[in-house]
Amino acid sequence: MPLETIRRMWSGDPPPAFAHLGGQVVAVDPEAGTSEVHFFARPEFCNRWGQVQGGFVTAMLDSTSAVAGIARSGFTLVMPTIELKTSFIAPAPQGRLIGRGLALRIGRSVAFLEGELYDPGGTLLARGSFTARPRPLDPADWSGG
Amino acid sequence: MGFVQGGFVSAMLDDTAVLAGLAKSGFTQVMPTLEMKTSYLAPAPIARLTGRGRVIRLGRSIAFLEADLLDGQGKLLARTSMTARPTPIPPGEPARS
Repeated sequence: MPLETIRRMWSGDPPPAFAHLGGQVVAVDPEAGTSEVHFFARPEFCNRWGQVQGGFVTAMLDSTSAVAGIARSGFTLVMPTIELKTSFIAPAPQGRLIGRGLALRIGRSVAFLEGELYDPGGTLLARGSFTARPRPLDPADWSGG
Repeated sequence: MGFVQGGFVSAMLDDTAVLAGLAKSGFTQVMPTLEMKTSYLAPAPIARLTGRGRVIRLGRSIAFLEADLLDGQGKLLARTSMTARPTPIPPGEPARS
């Protein structure tokens, strides 16, 4: 599936949470099972000190890794998360943030996904590992996570 | 699908757990999160949700916190366990996460 089609899947009628996070799918590689997704952290995502609250960071990683998993499945499966673990390596600033996702393994009933979040200078801010339960993607009611 | 995205569930659990840590410290320390693990037991609906946080241990440099998220009927939707770094509240700052 060409990148333009994939972009349309997320930009034409994006999942509301993905849109709230300012998500844009920049690149996917179905064979490698990787994704690059850009976000825009707004002031209302932040704590008192202007750093993005950890759950919002996790939300970005969740979407990023789900895109990688959906791509790896050849756009046949969605990836509802059943468990995740996030390590917060450095405070995430407001503004543009870059997510990179990787599908480690898509099994019949369980998928293992990873996501990393970077600032525009390339500093690693957070890393998440995800366990998901693959389900068929219904083109009429699909979810980008 | 109309369920709360997992990261937003984590955001609620984060605030809930941190508030428990803040209370346990006598409102003298904030709890920047170093790491958290969340298990999603059931989809979270678009509705009022209740978070319950607790402190497993509040040490000098590390705190272990937990939080549950429940729906209106008391059904457990998600649980998180968290590692945080207790930090004195910066002078002049109100005690909030």
